[in-house]
Amino acid sequence: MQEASEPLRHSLSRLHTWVGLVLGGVLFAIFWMGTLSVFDREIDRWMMPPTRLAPAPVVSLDAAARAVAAMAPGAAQWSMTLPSARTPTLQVRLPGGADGSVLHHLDPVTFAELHPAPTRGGTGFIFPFHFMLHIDWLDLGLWIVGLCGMAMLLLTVSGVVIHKRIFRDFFMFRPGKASTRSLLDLHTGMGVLALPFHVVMPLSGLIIFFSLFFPGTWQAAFDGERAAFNREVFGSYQRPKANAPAELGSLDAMAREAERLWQGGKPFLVRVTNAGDAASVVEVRRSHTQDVSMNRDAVYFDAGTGAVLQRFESKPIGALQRFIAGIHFVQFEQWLLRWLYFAAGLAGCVMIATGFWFWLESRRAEHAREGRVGVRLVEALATGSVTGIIVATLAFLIANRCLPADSHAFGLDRERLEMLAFYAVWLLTFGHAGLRQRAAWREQNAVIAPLAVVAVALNWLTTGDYPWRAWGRGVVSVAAMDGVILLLGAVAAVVARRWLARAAVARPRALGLARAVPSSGEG
Amino acid sequence: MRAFRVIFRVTLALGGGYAAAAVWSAALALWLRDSLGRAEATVLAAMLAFILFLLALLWITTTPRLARASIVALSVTLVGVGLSRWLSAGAWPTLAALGVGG
Repeated sequence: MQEASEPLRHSLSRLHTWVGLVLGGVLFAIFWMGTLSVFDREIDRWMMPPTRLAPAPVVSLDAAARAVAAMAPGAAQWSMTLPSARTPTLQVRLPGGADGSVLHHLDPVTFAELHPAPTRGGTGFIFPFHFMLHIDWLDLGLWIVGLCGMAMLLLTVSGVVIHKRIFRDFFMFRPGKASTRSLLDLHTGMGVLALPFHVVMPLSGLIIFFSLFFPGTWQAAFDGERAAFNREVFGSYQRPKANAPAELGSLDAMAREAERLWQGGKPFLVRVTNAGDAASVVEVRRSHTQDVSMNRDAVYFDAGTGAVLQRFESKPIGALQRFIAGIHFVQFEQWLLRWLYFAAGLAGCVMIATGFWFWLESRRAEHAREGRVGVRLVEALATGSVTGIIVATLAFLIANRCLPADSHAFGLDRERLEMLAFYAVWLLTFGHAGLRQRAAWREQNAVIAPLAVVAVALNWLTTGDYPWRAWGRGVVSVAAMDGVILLLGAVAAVVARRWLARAAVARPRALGLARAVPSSGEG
Repeated sequence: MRAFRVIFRVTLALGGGYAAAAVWSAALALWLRDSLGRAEATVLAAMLAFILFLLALLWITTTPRLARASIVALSVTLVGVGLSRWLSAGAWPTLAALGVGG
């Protein structure tokens, strides 16, 4: 049995190493952005100061509809997302812009439009980066992330099999031992600590996009009819225009009827299609803030009469898919679990980073002796991927607080300039890592610490919201954001200092070794 | 030669593993659609496809003999294609026809 399992373990070990090396950088980016996405709406509050409102009471939908009609008379389609504990504004989406629609934030009490400086924020930049890397072309970003999701599953399974004593090793962290030993301990510890998370997150992320990754399945079952698939699986409903004018009925009454049908479930989104037409439809979607499942429950009303046209609820297997999606999206309002997700995400980041470091440290001497470029290449990519993306994220936040509201440069508007700051700094960190090699880890950590302080200070200077003031006026999300950024800076400072100390010890040792070993010329 | 074998194995694992999972998922959806309904059958079969793909990836990347991996991957895919075609023509007794489920 032992003999039979050794070749398998050896094969899986090679697989673990190579998949980790090739895709580790992208995986870290996905994990980092996914971890931040747990608090994407809180990041929105930080990046959009005018939306930092205290939680507001439920709005009157009819009054909101009148405000929307005043903002965009004649809009054929519009939707509004109701305020929640995490997003205190009334978010109205109207036709327009390059993407086909523009998001407006309204005060849920006065319906006055709020005007945050243009930014994609957490929900528009960080969250999409997590699942599609902002590569739209042919859905390539989604496919790359899907590939990384499968890779993560492979890495987790192979990682469990190749560690003979994985659970015993979990309780062994030997920071005083050789650096490779302690790095492997940390890698194993973080992997085991959040093992269910490392399995569930990639699998649930893949299952969310099942129709994209396995289109042949629905095409076979639905004979290629996309509209029928959308209607039966996702509950979409459409009807042709009547080309006769009609008034919008009471949205409040429709919301009440939906609540009655859902036996107390609350609506969170109202969408009006073919507005002003006699065949206009109002879609009311059920909130999932109180459930793990991200249900697709919706009621479709005739916009004029308020009569129910269709009610959709997922069947058992569809509901299971929505439950799995809900585990991944973490949209339920449960703060302890949200922080645990955040911690597990960070554990994943540490696991990937220590995997890189273990590989580098265990091969550094050998590659240097043999003149191989492997360590140099991997070190540059790993440094840029790990510390580089953290530096870039801070640059993104700082750009948000520095750029004037009407900024335009290089043909880019403000929100794209923020993104440019992110990508330009990220690219620079790769260049820096290529030049400075091992020292780049320490230097980029040393940069993270002051950048974190600058980001928090800029938030204070530009909005007046220093952490305890934000906390005091009920904007806990901003205070927590500041706290996490400062903590990140402190951890980076400690890591940089430890690296500096280690380098200071290593240098005389290396010099001593060089003197002890005679050069080839002397020998 | 070694590089070629590695590239071939990776391509086989990704392409062959994906193809096998995709056709068997389609076949499963076709087999179940009369008993579960096509929406439920699609979602179930597509979710299971990820597990099939993962198992295929693990097996193809770890099996010692590349020729064996190639033959098995090709055979499994071709059987899945044949089964899908047969099921789409209504030639296979579905669960409903066997008196199970809907």
